[in-house]
Amino acid sequence: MQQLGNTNYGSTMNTQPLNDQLIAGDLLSSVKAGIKATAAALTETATPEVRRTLEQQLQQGLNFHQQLTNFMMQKGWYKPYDVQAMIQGDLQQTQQIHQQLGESMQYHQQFGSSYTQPQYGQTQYIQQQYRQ
Amino acid sequence: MHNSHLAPHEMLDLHELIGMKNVRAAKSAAMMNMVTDPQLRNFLQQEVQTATQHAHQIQSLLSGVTTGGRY
Repeated sequence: MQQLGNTNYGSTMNTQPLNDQLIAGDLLSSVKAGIKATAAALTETATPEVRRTLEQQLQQGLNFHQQLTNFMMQKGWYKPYDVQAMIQGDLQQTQQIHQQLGESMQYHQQFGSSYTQPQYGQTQYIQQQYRQ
Repeated sequence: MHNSHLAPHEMLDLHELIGMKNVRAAKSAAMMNMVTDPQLRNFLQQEVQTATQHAHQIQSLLSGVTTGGRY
C-alpha cells in the first residue's frame, strides 16, 4: 500500500468521526450549493426587490466562500494548487472514515441491540398488561 | 416591499432558498459545539448569522404571498 505519512494533508485529523476538517468541508459545500442556488434563482427573477435581495445574498456568499477557502488552505485542508496531495488526502480520508464507521457500526450491531432489546421487550410487556 | 407581487416561479425559488438557509443556520449552530478550532467556530457563527439574516430577508419577500399577495 502507498505510504501516506509524507503529507500533512489532514494532519489535524483526530479519532472523532466528525472532526474539524470534515465540518469545514461540510460548511464549504453548503456555501457552494447556496451560491449556485442563489445564482440560479437570480436568472429567473423578474421582481426588482427579489433581484436586489438575491444579488446582495450572492455577494455575501461569495465573500464568505473566499474567506473560508483561504482559511482551509492555511490549514492544509484544501490544496487547489497541488492536485496530487489533494487526491492523496481524499484517499487517506476515505480509508480513515470508512474504517471508523465500520468499527462503529460493528459496535452498534454487537452492543447496541442487546441494550435496546430489553426496553423493547418491556414495552411489549406493558402493552400486554394494558390490554388485559 | 409590500408592492412586490411575486411570480409563481419566484415563489418556488424563494421557497427552495429559504429551506436551505434554515437548515444551514440550524446545522451550523449544532456544529459549533463539535469543533475545536476557534477560527472554524467563528466561521460557523458567521454562517449562523448570515443564514438567519438571509432567511428573514426571504421571509419578508414571501410574507405577502400567504395573505393574498396583492398589496
